[in-house]
Amino acid sequence: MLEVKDLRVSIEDKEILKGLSLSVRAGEVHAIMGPNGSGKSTLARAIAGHPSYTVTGGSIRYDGQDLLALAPDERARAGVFLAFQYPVDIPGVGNSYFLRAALNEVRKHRGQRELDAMEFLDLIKGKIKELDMDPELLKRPVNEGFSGGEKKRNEILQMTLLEPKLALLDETDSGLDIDALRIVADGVNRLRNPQRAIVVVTHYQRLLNYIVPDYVHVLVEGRVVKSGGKELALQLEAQGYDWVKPQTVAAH
Amino acid sequence: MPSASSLISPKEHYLARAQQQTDTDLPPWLHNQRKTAALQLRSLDFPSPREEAWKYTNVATLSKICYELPSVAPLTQEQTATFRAACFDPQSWNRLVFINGHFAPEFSRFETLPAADGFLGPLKQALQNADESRRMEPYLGQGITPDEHLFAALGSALWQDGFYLRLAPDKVLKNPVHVIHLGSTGSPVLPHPLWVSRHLIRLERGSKATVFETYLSLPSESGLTLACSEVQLDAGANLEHVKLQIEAPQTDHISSASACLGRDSQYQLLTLSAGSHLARQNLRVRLDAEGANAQIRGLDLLHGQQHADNHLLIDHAKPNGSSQQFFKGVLADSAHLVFTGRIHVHPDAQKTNAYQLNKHLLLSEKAGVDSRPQLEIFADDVRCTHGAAIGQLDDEMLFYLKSRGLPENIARKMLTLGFAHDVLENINDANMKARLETVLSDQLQKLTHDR
Ligand SMILES: Nc1ncnc2c1ncn2[C@@H]1O[C@H](COP(=O)(O)OP(=O)(O)OP(=O)(O)O)[C@@H](O)[C@H]1O
Ligand SMILES: [Mg+2]
Repeated sequence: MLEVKDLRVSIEDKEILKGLSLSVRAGEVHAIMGPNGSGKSTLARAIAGHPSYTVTGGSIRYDGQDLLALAPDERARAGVFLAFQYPVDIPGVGNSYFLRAALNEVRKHRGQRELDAMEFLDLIKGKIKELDMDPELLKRPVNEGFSGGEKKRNEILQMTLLEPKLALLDETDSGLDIDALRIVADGVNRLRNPQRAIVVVTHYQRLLNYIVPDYVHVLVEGRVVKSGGKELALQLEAQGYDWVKPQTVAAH
Repeated sequence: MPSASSLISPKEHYLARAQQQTDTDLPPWLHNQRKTAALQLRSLDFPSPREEAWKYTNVATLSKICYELPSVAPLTQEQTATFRAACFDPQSWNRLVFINGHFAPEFSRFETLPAADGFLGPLKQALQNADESRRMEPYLGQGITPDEHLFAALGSALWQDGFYLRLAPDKVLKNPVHVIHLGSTGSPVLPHPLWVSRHLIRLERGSKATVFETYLSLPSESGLTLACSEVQLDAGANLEHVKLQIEAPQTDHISSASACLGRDSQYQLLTLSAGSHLARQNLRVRLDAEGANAQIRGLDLLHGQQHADNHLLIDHAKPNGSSQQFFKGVLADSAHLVFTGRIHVHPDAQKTNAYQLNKHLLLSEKAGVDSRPQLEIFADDVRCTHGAAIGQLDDEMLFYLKSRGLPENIARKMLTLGFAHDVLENINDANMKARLETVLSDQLQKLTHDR
């Protein structure tokens, strides 16, 4: 489903991803871990098509097509979804209005009928409940004044609404309380199916108890330096990143 | 005689028109006022960018044209359609329609107020009433005087008609008044029609009203609108006043509004300007007695070569007054917006609370804004805050929306709407709000599509 090959990405002429490769098949869940600043968000945002990230080499194929040839909104409509590490506040734009507009764009693309305000409300109410969110958050501007945890839940709400084929969750667990973590994880697990792939970026093994990954990758200085099964996360939790780092030095 | 008229200067042309004004039925005091205005006109020149108040708005183009007063003419189908599109007002509202500056009774419908409650109707009709004429005399032509600038003199000397609202003490006008100004070339067809109107609103002690003005012209009109509005609020009176300017792209618009606020009175003005080629709005509010409050909001939505200039003076003359100016602009293409907000606090006006904020969103690199706050504070115990911000659409926000599948143009429109919408927030009447939201949304469509 997702095939990242030798990807090189720069931001403001500084190379962040230095030949990263990653292969994710439909139905799989991958976890990406790694020290602060190693390029995890850069990878996620480059896949989503953020304009500040310049791809200087390599390729990203998604669902058999060249993802880099698509604009960010085309990628989203094609089923790529990024839950942001730091979701931005959008003053003046009502959350509910935004969610319905987004959903209808995606539905149009899939050849489905657009939902009117009432139908949408029915749908979103159910989702809000699943995620144990305050319905008032629908009336407020997107993310404005949301607490850290509320923002993260709002990201997951969008994901469950848009039903992407490839979901990238960038540290969705940080900022969530213990109950919320489980609720969010349940939401993600409900989405798990053989047609869908999920990539979670996290610093904490704890999340992976709830969302059990098929593979764990360690990202250091812009490269995947180690991959393994879910037990790799436990090992990292116990030993930190130092023991994986020398390999990057050796690679130079 | 077109050949002869092309030889005379626009000013001579207007002077000749002023002399030809055949309203012999006007009361003598008004007759004198018009004569004085014509004399002023003689001694004034078109404002030049060398003058501080006109520094960023050049009227050179329109000062070379001899605009002509159109006569009353029946509406064509096209004109009727344009007019109908502006009629959002529900049946219960009062509607006064002016076509080419002339009152159009066939399109108007409004309640006739009992004399004890006040007066609502066209200005010229009100002047026929000796009582009303006497009541108007201290106010009409006093807020905006012909010596201010040539356009004020022109407005005073040449106005055709306008609306007049007076409410007696404690009278609450339940149904809003919608005043529609429609400009067309008239008949015979004029290349440069001139639409001159004059309005007076006087709310006596404790009375309350809502007035919505729409200025529109037909799509191809290259005319000039000159509008003067005077507002007098007596103690405790409350006016909600909205002005919607959606004239055609070749129309020019110069308006002056002056409000004088009595003790504890409240004036809420919102101007939404989306039309015309050049628009200059002079707004002056005088807080003339203790405890008055003025809330002035403005939203300019400009694209193409449009130029708008909001020129405000908030004059705090007495203590405990408060004023808020909240102006926003959205500019696409090569549009240009000027904001001058002068706050003058007299030595007497202690405990004044004056606030000014203007924020502008540039959708294009060629668009520009000149924003000038001017604070003149001569009292020591006052609170005066002002701020200005000019920015572009935020890339992170844009990316966020696009990452959810919204196409670029829709994402841009959504953010732009989000930026502009709060100017309309305090509008109480649901019909009014819906109308303004529609205009906003339609206009943003033009400003954000395919760029
Ligand atoms: N606009 C920018 N200009 C310069 N450097 C940047 C910019 N944005 C990100 N970087 C750098 O890119 C590197 C990778 O950042 P990234 O956000 O991908 O890290 P991360 O692995 O997600 O870290 P964390 O675990 O802290 O979220 C960091 O060193 C960061 O400082
Ligand atoms: Mg990160």
